[in-house]
Amino acid sequence: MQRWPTHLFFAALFVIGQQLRLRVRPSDGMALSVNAIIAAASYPLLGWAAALPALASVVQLRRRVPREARLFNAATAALSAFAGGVVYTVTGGPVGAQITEGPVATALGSLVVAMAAFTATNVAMLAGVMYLDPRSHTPMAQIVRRAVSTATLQQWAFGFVSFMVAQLWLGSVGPIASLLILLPIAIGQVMIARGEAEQRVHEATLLALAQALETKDPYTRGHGERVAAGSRELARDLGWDPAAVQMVGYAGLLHDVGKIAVPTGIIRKRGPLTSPEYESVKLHPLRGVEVVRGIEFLRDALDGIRHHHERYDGSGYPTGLAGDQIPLFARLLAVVDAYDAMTTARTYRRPRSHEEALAELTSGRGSQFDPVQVDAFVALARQGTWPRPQPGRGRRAGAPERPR
Amino acid sequence: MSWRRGNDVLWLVSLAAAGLTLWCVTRTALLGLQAVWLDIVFVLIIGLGEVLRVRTPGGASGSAPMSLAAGAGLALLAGSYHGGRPAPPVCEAVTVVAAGMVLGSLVFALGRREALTARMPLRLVSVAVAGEVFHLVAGLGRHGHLFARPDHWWVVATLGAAALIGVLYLVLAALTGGSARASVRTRLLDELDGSALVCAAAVATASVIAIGSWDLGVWSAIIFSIPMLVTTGALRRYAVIRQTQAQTVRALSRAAEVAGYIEVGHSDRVADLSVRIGEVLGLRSRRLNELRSAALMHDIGQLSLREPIPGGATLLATGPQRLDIARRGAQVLERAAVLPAVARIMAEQAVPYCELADDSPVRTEAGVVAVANAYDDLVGAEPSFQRQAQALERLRLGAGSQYDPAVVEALEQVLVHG
Repeated sequence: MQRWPTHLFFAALFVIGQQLRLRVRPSDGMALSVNAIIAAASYPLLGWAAALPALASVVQLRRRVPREARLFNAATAALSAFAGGVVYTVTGGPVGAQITEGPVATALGSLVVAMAAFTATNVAMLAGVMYLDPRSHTPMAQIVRRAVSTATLQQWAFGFVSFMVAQLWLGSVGPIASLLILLPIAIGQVMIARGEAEQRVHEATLLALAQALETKDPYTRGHGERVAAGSRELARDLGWDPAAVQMVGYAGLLHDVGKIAVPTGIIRKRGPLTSPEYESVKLHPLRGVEVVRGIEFLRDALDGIRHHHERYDGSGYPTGLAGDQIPLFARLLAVVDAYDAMTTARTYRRPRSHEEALAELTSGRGSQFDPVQVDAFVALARQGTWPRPQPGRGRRAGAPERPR
Repeated sequence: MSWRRGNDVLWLVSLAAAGLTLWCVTRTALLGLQAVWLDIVFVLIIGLGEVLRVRTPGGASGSAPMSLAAGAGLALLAGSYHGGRPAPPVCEAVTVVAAGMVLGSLVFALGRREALTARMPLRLVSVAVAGEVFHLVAGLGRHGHLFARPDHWWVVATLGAAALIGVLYLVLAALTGGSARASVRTRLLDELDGSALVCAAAVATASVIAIGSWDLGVWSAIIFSIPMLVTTGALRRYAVIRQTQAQTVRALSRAAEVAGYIEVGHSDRVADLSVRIGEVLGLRSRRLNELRSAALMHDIGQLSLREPIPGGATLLATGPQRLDIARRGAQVLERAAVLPAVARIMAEQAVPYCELADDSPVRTEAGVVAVANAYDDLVGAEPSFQRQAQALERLRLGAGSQYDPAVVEALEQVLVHG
């Protein structure tokens, strides 16, 4: 049978598919692999030969991908499609002319097994290369979990759609009608992109909220952002789950926002504070909670903001919690906050060096700070990758650059 | 959008929906069900679609694109075949749509959430009316099954009817939704802005479902609903982010209140009044949102003052000081490179009307915030008739120099008509 136009057609689809970036949901960085989706449409037309056009996925126009990676990806796609095609044919999925006869349910049943075979081959190839790669530290369980995530589910869902489009294409109505399904898919992508854009606007608005304080106290410029970045890095290092990492970042960004309610004279004061002045400073964690309380998704961050000035021995404020009574977010923030406060210039003193600050943190281990957090922070800071100075941001003219 | 007294069109549409349902259910009961399995699958899909209600990007609640797509798809099947068998007539399709809606509403009622939404009768009426029209026009008086072959004429007719459903739905949504103060034209444009894309996706899906059913039978509806499911998920996340964004803007305005720079409640009142004035002036929904944000945050520049102004009323500050406060407030947004239009309104609301640049794109909005702010400073939290009259008198004296005369006039309308 003359099948080469079909092969060429699907090869073209694979090439186009590599250039697309289909998204399933905003901002989780999960781009959908379209290979499984295109392959699903090719099984009823090509059977096991579905592997051949999949090789075309080696063509990569937009992104600069190393040659080895491209070859590996194309080989994975071809092998997976081969596995899918063989399983589809063996389980009795209709191929070629028989496609529009027979019940649809049988064909869909074969497709399910075929897609399972595709996914399994894909995961096996990925896991194999990561196992062999000496630089990779990702545990096997995590690789598998990531491969069988929601993205895979949606990949399967779109696989069904493309399979049905292939059936329509060959059916009694012809190709024109099946192209219509591209419209809702494209509009879905537009909606996801809009969500991502709105998410960026929101992140920037949160930043504006954190920076509102800087209209009052220029010395705190960039403090919230640095504490946010540091908290996220430390939390990630401690193995927190991604949602908690993100949330502690928000808590870090906004932890001092309550200082807005402290009289400007006290915030900008040079020299030691009197007792009543100190009392009004001590109110700032609670004031901060009052400001951001209305933002529902930050509910988990509120504890971090409220308790970031508690001390591990119980002598802190506002409630005097001690030890593990202090919420985890707050214990982590306290360390990062103290480090940043020590290493930047304040109205009343010069900044301390990186080493001095770390020594100070270590001496507060168990009294002011949670030992676990301090140890992790010091270890992280000594690796030399963090904290990174942020050029042009949060640095006052004349203030010394923090040592790496 | 929720049930609201005085919305005559919504009552008419709901009445029409009830009448159509009654008629279709009766007819179906007399004729008997033609395709039980197909009906059950569609009831389930429509029910799921109703449960997964979302806000449109325009902010109207109760949209259910998956339900609209499946319901319209079934209505468009009428007069053709599915998987080799005759498809059910329009009256059966409408019965199925109603059953799906009842199912979805039941789930909401069991969860003790608001079960009814104003968009539900819109969906039913659009599907029923367009389905009947399609059937009448395509049949030209013939009875029974109109299409013996899946030819191009059938495809074109299906696409046309799908488009009709979309247009009908958007027009009805514009007539029944939106603010009562906005003109029909504004509401229609807002509706197009907010839900035309989603609606287009739904009716395109509907035609694919109908066309695909000829060969694929019931699987067409199941599989081709998937893209709408993904779109619904995207819309839900979008709505959550929009809500969070509004809360964050509100937190920014709260910052100045918590700090004691402005009286608690002032920003909210100015924002509410600004939006009402904006509606009278015929501003579109996107500009109204920007206006609300700017009005909420118009005083945050006061945070840069060493000591709060007594009472927080910027009317008491001198002209240059007011300008400085407004500029610093706008800078809070500009530094974070966010909401440039809102920042511009915030900066220009302190500029006297006669000094505002003619080509400023936010000239109207800045004028609205200025007037609403001045009015609230003069009247305060507890308005009395006398204070309102005095405040209005003072604003009228400043119209043309300090304040935009059109805005002062709109404020008067808001105060008189509520």
